[in-house]
Amino acid sequence: MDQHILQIKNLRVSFNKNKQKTTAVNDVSLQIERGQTVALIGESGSGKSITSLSVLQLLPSNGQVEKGSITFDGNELLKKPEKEMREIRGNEISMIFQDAIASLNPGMKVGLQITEGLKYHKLVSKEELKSEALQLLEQVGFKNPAQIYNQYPDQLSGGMKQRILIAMAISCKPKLLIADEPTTALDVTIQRQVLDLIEHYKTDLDASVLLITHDFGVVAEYADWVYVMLGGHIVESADVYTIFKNPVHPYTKALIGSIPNPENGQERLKSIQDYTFEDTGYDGRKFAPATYTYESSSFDAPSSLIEVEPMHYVRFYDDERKVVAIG
Amino acid sequence: MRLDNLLVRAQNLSKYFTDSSGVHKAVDGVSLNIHRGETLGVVGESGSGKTTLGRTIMRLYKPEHGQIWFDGKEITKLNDGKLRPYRREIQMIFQNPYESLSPRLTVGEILEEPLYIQKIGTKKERMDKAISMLEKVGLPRNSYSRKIHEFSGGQRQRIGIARALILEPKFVIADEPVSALDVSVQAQVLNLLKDLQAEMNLTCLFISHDLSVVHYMSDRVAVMYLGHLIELAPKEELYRNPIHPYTKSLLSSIPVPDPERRNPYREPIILPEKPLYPPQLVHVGNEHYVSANMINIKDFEIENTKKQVSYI
Repeated sequence: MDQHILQIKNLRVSFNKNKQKTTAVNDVSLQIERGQTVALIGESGSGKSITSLSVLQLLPSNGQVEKGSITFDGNELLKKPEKEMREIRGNEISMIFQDAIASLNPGMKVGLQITEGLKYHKLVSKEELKSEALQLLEQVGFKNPAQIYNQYPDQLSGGMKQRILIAMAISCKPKLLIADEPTTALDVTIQRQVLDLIEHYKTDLDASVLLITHDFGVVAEYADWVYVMLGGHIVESADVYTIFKNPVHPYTKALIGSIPNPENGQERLKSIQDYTFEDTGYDGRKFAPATYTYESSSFDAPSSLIEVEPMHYVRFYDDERKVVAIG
Repeated sequence: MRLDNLLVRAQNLSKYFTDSSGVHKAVDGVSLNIHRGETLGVVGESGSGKTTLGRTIMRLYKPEHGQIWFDGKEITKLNDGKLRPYRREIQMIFQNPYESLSPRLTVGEILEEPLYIQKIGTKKERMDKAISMLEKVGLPRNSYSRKIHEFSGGQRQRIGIARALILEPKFVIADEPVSALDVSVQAQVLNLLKDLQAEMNLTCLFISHDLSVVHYMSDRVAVMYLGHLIELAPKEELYRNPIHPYTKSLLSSIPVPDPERRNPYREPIILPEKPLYPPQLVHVGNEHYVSANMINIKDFEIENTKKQVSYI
């Protein structure tokens, strides 16, 4: 059996808009070991959601995978026809979306929504579906599953809706759970409950989790391995301990430095402006990208990930002279 | 505590909303003082009444009960016309810079509007003021004639801050000013706010659901829960020694940005029932106040309870 449940290699995704091509994700390689929680971190627009949508082949119609391969459980996903992908979505890989309000059907009782996947994938009887739904509701922490079963989404709070989404995502016992900013809109206490729930599911069923987030605090609590994404590229990756102890890329340093932490009594938060991308190289190489502003980060020259210490990768430009030319 | 040191004082403040399902007590019996030059942080989950509290103190809402004093004068019952001079001194920074700035106006017009309404300066003076304000918040001069859609979220929030501060207010209410921003941008905006606050000697009510952010910005922190104020203390004291079970749950839920200190045995989350009446706050030392429903007063060895139990 392959050690990795998911393996993405050199993925490139581009979008056509007004006859112009934009590359949203470029040269992204990522792997998830069985039983691991892997975090993909970056700010809005960095390509993290596009990467996860490519795995499920749910890209918007004007987007296409140009290059690369995605293997799940040993099978290449990109070559699979739509019919086979449907067997995988929700069944073997399922997704928890960020916006719980938008991802639930407002006109359908939540109990029925939870088991739609089961009905499609597992062919079970009506009675079994209902008992399964009640069990799932209990599993995600509802004390009164029978009552919740008959409620509509707008009768529930944000945290409850997010738990319904989790119940739905785990109903078919998938091997891989993709959680796309599952707690962004939630309060801290509920955030903790939701993330703990995902963690429990993962441990109980020996599943794997791809956690997409922009919060390094959440990463520190839950992830095993971290990929930092910027401008469609992975710029640094390492296990969670290494990345906090020894971040190398200035962007990673900036992300970690910008978290307010009540325990170390910082006088001033670091922000991205406090880190220079240009001057600080590593072993004679230049960081990629060499410049960064919030609006744009330029990756005009070819770049690749270099192993700076065992199992710790950072993106540098391939050829130093080209960087000087960009200025 | 000398009273002339207080800029804002709210006493037993309540704001109710009524809908088909009945009366909802969004803010219920909250008393607090804000000293000149300090930042008071307000934390609580969504629906705890923190935004309503801010808006009621600013008199955007008319409170059902209670009194508000600003700079020594009661403003609880003033009508819109009489409130106008206070609007100049109390300003608000809103949560979502995508929704709180008009897409039809140029940045210059947005910034000059409050000056115009308050009839301050000539046209030329207003323009100079707007431009100097832009520079203060770290935006280029040429932003003046551009429109909002040309700016990123962080830049928009800088414009929102500039608009709030252009009247040189004494008191600013910042309602979740960074929750719509990315982490790296959030840090820049927080630093900017802190700098401006020191420079302009502002008093601030900083509302946020993010405890780490509140800790970074505030001198004292108030915890709201289901419309009640349940705990209030200087920030170091509150983070070191939380007493109310809800405050404890909140603090233990903050993700610690250090994987070495991952703790699988965290305290369980306790969400107590809402008490029927607003809690009486009890002083337990070190300027630390906590809801009397939740503590055993004997634990704190308060000898003369009458003296110690005090409104704040």
